[in-house]
Amino acid sequence: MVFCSLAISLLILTSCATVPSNRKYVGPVFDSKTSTQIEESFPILWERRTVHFGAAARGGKPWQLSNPFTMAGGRRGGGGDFPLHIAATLMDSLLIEAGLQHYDTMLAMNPKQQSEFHHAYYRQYDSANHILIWCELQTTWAELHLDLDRWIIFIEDDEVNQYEPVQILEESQPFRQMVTDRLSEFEPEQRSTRWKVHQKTLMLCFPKRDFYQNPILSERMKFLKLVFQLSDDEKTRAEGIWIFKN
Amino acid sequence: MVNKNFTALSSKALLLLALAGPFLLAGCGPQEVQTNWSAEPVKVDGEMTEWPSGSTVYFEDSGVQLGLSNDNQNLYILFRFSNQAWARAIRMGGVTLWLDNSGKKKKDFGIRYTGGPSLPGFQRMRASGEGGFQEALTPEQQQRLLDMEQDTVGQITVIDKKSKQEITLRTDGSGGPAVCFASPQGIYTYEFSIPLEKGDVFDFGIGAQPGQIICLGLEWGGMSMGDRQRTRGERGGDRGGEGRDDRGGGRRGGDRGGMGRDRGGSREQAPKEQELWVKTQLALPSVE
Repeated sequence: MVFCSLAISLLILTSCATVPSNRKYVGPVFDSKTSTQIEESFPILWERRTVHFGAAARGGKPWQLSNPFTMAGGRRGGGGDFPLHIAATLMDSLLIEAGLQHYDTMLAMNPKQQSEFHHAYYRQYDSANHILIWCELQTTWAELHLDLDRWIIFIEDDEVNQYEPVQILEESQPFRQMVTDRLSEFEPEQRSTRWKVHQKTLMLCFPKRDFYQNPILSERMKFLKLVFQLSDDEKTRAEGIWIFKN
Repeated sequence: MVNKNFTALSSKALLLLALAGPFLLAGCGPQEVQTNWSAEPVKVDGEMTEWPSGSTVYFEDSGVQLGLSNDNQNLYILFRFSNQAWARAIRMGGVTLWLDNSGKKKKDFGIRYTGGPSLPGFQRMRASGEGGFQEALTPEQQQRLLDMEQDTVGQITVIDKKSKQEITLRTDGSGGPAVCFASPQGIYTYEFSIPLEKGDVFDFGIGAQPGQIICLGLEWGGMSMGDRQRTRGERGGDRGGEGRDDRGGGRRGGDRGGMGRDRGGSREQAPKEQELWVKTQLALPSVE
């Protein structure tokens, strides 16, 4: 409930950086939605709740060709390469409702089908007890970089409390589009070399309450970080930040 | 003597002018484009393999590259541009290829292709699996979703105004005409194959033979309200790219020239209707 109210009452603003940065990207304001408005705004809501971090951001050059010193992610102080590009979406209640309604409408479901679909979703993803973060990992490096055993993944609030996921679900349908679609955003001469992109999609499930049963996402929270840190090298880390504003 | 010569010259000049007049006027009509003979059937794959340098023409004013070739069976058309807004409009509303075997600009028979780049090519739209929603659908619903997505891959509509018929075909050529979209080197490329002979039941073909003069018109853009509403929901974080509207001819700012990518421009306005007509003589088999 707290998470729900937080989602509606707070604006989620996104930014991404290797470390907390002064660069804050303020997104457009969204209000409480009617059901129709929710349906129309699902793609927009998704964008607003998604941070891109790690290797060069989407739309840039293939990250292995990028100047490592200009990467959004990577080792602090430069000089290191961060092998993953990460797109993380904070699946708050409003976004989930919008997504469910999006599919209700697209597939012209009747009320019974809608109910079954919604129940199936909530059975699969326990949004009542978990902070859900949809995560797409991509690398043009070796596929082993997608091995989750190599990474320590956690969220960190503005008081530097850290929480590890209670569950990580690997999704079976990570990307419908072909790799070439993804690469089409690169410059043609680079695309022509046809870099192979390895990818993995996860639903990260973090606890919704701390040890003392206080909500982790409180209304006072200023930002929330998602951190990917290499297990054997704590300096190799990248973090995406959702910034909340009252 | 001089007068006589002058009068003779003037008469010749007038005669030349009279003869040239229709051709000068014709300059306002469709431009003439050469159609090349294709010794081998063109593989309709949206790639430039069968279109070597010099086999296409580039329309500077509109930023469109066009290639025409034919064999005894088909007319092959290559249509390329870099305007992202046009590609979006074609994906939603289609590009219609008007074919007039009388060599005029009649819009009686046409092939409309609706399709083009998938959404991620335009912007980061929601892929079906994102958010885990698709996982919660029943297998039947997932299949329906797949079918719906497949439908957006592309389809051909054959328009025959004379018989007041429209028929939808697959793009793979199984119904006669074939179309394929690709974006090699980031250029939106549409490759068509249209049978020259008319079908027995329905006019899937042009009804023309090698050596015959035909007119070919390409029409795209100018989305309907329905199209606009459909695209509005998809625009989200669209990065624009409507570079220009050049129906009136001439380049405007924001275009880097050539077939380069367009930059800037409005992200809300749909491109205005575009039309390009060419006249061509279908090629005859080359004599070895």
